[in-house]
Amino acid sequence: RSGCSGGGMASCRRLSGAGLREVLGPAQGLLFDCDGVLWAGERAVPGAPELLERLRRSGKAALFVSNNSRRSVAELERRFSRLGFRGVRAEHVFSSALCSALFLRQRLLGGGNGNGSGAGRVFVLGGEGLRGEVRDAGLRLAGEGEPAPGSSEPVRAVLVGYDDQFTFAKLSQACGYLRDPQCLLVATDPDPWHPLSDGQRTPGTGSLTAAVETASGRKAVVVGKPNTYMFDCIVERFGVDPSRTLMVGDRLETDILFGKNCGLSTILTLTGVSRLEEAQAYMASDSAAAKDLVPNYYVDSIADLIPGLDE
Amino acid sequence: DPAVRAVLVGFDEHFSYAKLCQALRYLLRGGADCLLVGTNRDNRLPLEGGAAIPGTGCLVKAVETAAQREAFIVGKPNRYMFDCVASEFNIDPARTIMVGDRLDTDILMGNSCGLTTLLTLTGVSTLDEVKGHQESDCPTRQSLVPDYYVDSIADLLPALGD
Repeated sequence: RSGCSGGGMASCRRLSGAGLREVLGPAQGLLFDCDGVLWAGERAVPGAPELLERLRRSGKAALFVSNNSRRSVAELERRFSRLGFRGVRAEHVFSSALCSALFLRQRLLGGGNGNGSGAGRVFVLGGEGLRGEVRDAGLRLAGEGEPAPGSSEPVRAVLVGYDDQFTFAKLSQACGYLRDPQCLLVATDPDPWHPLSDGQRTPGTGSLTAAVETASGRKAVVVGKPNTYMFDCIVERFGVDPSRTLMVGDRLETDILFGKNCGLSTILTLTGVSRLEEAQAYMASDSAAAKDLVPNYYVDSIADLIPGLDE
Repeated sequence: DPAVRAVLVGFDEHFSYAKLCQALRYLLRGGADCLLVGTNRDNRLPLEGGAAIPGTGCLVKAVETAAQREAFIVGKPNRYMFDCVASEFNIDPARTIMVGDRLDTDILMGNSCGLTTLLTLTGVSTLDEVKGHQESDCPTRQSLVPDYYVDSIADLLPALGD
C-alpha cells in the first residue's frame, strides 16, 4: 500500500523490507524535521548524509521544515554543510524564523517587499538569527528598553521566538505594545522545551509565549508545526503534492501532527524526542485528538530508509 | 550542591531565561521529589491609566509549560491561605466576611470557602463584570459573584457602633 494518507487512524507500523519500497517508491519527495532527525547537537545522525545523497540520486526532493527559530536559513545552510550534508541550499530550508518573517511581511506589508514605512515595527523576543530574518523580510524592528508606545512609529507586532535573553523587562515591554488590539501577537513555534546533548532540557518558545499570553490576555498566532503555515510556504515555493510527499520527524506533537494536518503520510524516527511507547499510548487512547499524533510508520533512524531507494 | 526539593515561583522582576532554565533543571532532576509551587496566578498587576505589569501568573505559566507539569498554587483563589488562617484563629466561615477588590481571586476564594463575600469597587473589578457573570449560564462564572458590594470599605463605618 503506497504512502497515501486517507481517513482513519494511522497504525504506527515499522517501515522495513518490502514495506519500505512500497512507501518510498511512489513518493516524489520527503519533508524532514532537522533536530533529532538529521542531527543531534553537533553530530549528524549516522547514515543521514548518505540518505540525502541517495534521495538526490533517486530524483526525489528533500526539503526541511524546522521549528527552531534560532538560526537564519543562511546559517542553517552552513550547518548542513559543516555536518556533512551535501547539496542543501538555503532555499530548501523552511525554519520557523523564516516563516514567521514571511507571515509578518504578509500581514504588515501586504506581501510586497516594500520599504516598510507606515507598516509599523516589530518587537522581537529572540536572537540575532530571528531578528535577521525579520529584517530580510523588509520589516523594521523595535529596540529594547524604548520609551513608551506612541512616541515613534507604532509597533504593529510582537514576535515571540526562542529567546535566551528573555527578561521580565522585555515581557513588560511586549505587554505595553499588546494593549493596542491592532498589534499582532505571533509565536515562532509552540515547543515547550528542547533536548540538549547532555540529557538536559532547555525551555522552548512555548514557555515564553505562555508568559506573554498570560500577561496580555491575548492568544498568539503560532507559525510553526503542528500548524500548517510552514507547509503553505513550502507549497508556494515548490508546489509540493501532499499525496506524494512524506513527512519525517521525531516529535509526535509537532512533526507527526503537522503531517496529519497537511495531508502527508508520516514517518516517526526514534533518534530524537518521542519514544515508541508514547506513539503506542496515543494509539491506544480513546481521545480523537490523540489518534492524530500516531505516525503511519516508524524507523529507528532515517538511515533505515536507504534500502528503500534504488541503487 | 544539596538536592533541591522545591522550586518556588513568586513575583520576580528579575525573571530571566537563565532562571527558567535552572528551574527546569531542578524539576527534571528531582522529578516527584521536587515540588513546583507558585505563590499565586495573578496575570497582571494594574497600574494607573490602564497599563499593567506582568503578574506572577505569567512566570508560573512559563515554568509549568517548560516542565509540562502543574504548580501547586498557594494564593487566592486557592484555599490554602484560608486554611492557614482558619486553623490558627478558629474561624467560623458562616460568621466571616471576605472583603476584596478582585473577583477571580478574593471573591472566588471567599465563595469557595463558604464565607460571605463583599466586593469593594476601589480596585480591579467593576460592577459591569459582576453583572456579566451574574447573567451567564456558566456555574464557574456564577462563583465569581459576590454576596454584596460597596463603593469603598469606608462605607462600612456607619454600620459599626461608636
